[in-house]
Parts: sequence; C-alpha cells; structure tokens
Amino acid sequence: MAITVNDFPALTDDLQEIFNEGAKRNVAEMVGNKVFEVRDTNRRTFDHLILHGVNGIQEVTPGADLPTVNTDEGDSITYTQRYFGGNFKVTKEMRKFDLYSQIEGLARTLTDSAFDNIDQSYADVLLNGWSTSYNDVWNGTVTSTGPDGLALFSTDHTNGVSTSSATFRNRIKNSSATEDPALDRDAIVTARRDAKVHKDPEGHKKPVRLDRLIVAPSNEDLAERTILSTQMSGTANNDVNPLKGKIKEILVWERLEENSAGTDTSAYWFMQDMRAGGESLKSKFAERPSLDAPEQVYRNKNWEYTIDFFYTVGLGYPAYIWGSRGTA
Amino acid sequence: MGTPNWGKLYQQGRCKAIGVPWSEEELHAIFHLGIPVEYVRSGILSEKDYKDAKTQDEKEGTPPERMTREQLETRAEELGIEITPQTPDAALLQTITIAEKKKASKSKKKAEKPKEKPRVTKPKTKDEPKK
Repeated sequence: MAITVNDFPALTDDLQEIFNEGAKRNVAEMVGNKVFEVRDTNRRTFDHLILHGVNGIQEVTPGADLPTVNTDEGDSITYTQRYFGGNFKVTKEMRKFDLYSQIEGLARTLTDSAFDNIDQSYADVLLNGWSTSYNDVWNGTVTSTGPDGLALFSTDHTNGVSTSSATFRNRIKNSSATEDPALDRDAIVTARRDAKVHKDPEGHKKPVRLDRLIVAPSNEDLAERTILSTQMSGTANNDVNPLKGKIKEILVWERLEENSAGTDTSAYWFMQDMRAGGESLKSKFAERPSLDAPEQVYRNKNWEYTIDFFYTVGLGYPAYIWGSRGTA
Repeated sequence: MGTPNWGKLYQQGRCKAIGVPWSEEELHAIFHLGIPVEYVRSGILSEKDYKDAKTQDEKEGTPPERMTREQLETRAEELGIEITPQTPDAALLQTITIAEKKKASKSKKKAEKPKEKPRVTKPKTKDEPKK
C-alpha cells in the first residue's frame, strides 16, 4: 500500500526510532568518546583556561587566618563550534510504491555516517598529533595546535605560567632515547616512567599515571600479549610480567588503522591517564545529532528529513596523553 | 579545533610568529642550546651561529628582528613612532623595520644627491636680437 500524507506522522515515528537505535548503537561502539571528554555547551566559542592547581597550602598556627592560595594561570584556548548536517529525501516514488526498506536504509546510513565521522574526527586528532594542521574527515583544514602553540605530541611542551621555564614531553621514547618506537614492553615501561616524574610549572611532583593503552587492530594481538601475559611475553625465562594489572585497559580503536587522508597509521599507539585524560582531549557539543522531520510536504513532493549537529574538538593540557608513531 | 592565544604565546617567546608554531629544530635550539628566541626567530639555530651573530651585533648594533621588547620600545621612541602597551611585538617590529628602511633610503639619497652647480646666467647684451 502506498504511503500517503496521512502516514506522515507514522513514518516520521518509524524513522525517529531507526535514528535513535542507530545513535544508541553507534555511541556504544564509539571509542573516541572514551578517550575524549565529551560535554555539552551552549556557547558558540568556548574559552578553556588551564589552571595548574593552587600554590599556597601552608601549616597554619591555630587561630591564625588561613593563607589565601594563588592559582597558577596557564594557557588558554578557544574552541569554536562547527555545524554539520545532511538530509535524505523520501520521494513520491518511494511512498507510492511503498519502498519502505529504501527509506529505512537511507535513515540508517545517514545516522551511521554522522557517528562514524565524529569518531574518525576524534581518531584524527591523535593520528595527526605530530603536525600543526591537517585535513579532517569533514574535508576542512584544521589547526591542530594545543594551548601552547605546539602540536599535540611534542618533546618540549611549555606552560603559560610566566615564572616557569619548565618543559615536558608527551612523545613516547624507549630506554635508548629513540623517539616514536614501535609498540613493545620497553617503550611502555619508559613512557610510564617518564610520565610518572611529571612536574607542574611550580616544580611540584604531579605524576601522570598512564594506565590505558590505545592501539589499532594491527597491534591488538601484540598489545594483549605484552600486557595481559602473566609472564614476560616472548622471553625464555619465567619472570613475571610487571605490566600485568598496571595497564587497566587496552582500547583497540579500528579508526586508528588509517587516517582520513588514507595514510596507513596502523603502527601508531598511544597511552593515556584514564583519570585525567579528558584534560588533554575535549569535545563540546552545542547540539547533539538529531533527526528532524520536515515541517511540510514540499512542492517537489519529497519529504526531506535532516540530521544535523553542532560540535567541536579541542586540545587541552597535553600531559595526560602520550603518543608514538611506531616508526623506530 | 581550538585556537590558542597566539598573541600571548608570541609575547612569551613560545611561537615563531602569530599562527606559526616552533619547529622541532627551533625548540631544540631554544630549550637545549639556550639560544634566545629573538635569535631563533631570525634563523639562528646553532651555538656557533649564535656566537657569530652576537659578536656582529656587539660591533654593528642589534638589528630590530633580534631585539627584545624593551629594546624595540626604546628604538621606536628614538624613531618617533607612537606605540601603546597593546601594540603586539610583531607589529612593533614591522613598524620599526619600515621606519628604519625609510630613514636609510632618505640618508642614502641625501648622500647620493649631486651638489647643485651655481647657475650661471648669461648677461644680456644690447646687441642680442629680441625674440
């Protein structure tokens, strides 16, 4: 039976359901929203100011006034919302001949495409963390510098505290000081050690605990053998594997296999402090993806359903995410 | 993606220019060789080049691109350029460079200008036919 104007509310309900189910499934399968801190905002431009904690907690004589603490103001960065969307047409032909499966397919494909691209845009931030600009999955050129004006992964990150000349790295090296080593036990141990001795701009010890390993599917097996084996993987002795239990999560992210430009990035791997990872990688939604029904039947007799959203991706204080291109 | 505060980063010597991040090599020169950012910005990346440039500057005076903010402000004052505390370093440098070029070309022209010969006017004689 043909789908008539009277069926419009029912069809819209059906498509909303398809969208909602698709969105739920995609959000559950996305890896990016575990790695990034995803929050809502109602601001077009969001100013993020990095504060390096307070300085001034002192021993107080009973009865004396408590000292006023000072916050160390670091760098700031502005995230600007970008608008994305698309529509699909339910044509007269589809309705007349009741091509419901086609209509359903269109809704499902567009929903998947929106969430796929959002997740790839998150992966691209890590995969392009060695450059200061790149072409993203939405075909736009984006500046990929963090608040300190450097690429996400650097050997000499700085902070905005004027009294401090401290620098820190978040590029993984191995014990021989080789940058961008391939995924192996030695590089993981060295990165964890380097992160643990991190100091804030005032020189106070602020250890970064790298307890999440993020790899592409090509490295999944190696990562699991290296981290999960009870004994040292690939060695003839019976030493215990000290990494077991220290890396709390291995995230295998399919989108790390290749970046949006089609470059093979399967050897890239990353480590993150799960407790504070959101300080480094942020995403702000001014509007989450939603499916909207057309308000009226158009003169061309197409019913145009739209999916649109506002969001942005940004970098914060980079100490909590470490990366290697796995080239050495 | 986000936009950092490039103006502040430039003023703190934490980027090469507004919107231009330091390269790995430049970062090495600043943080590991201890070369001042003003010198790195003018392309000096090795200790030897830095020593040579410093010696040259001591002899011939520091060129504007290697001056610190304070030196730039003093130079601007000498050249009669009006500035405000909000003037970005990059704009200050550009204004000084233009003013110095202008000044240099003026003095060059002055030096090249041939001395005017005194005009010799022929005294009119009575016999000369009227035009």
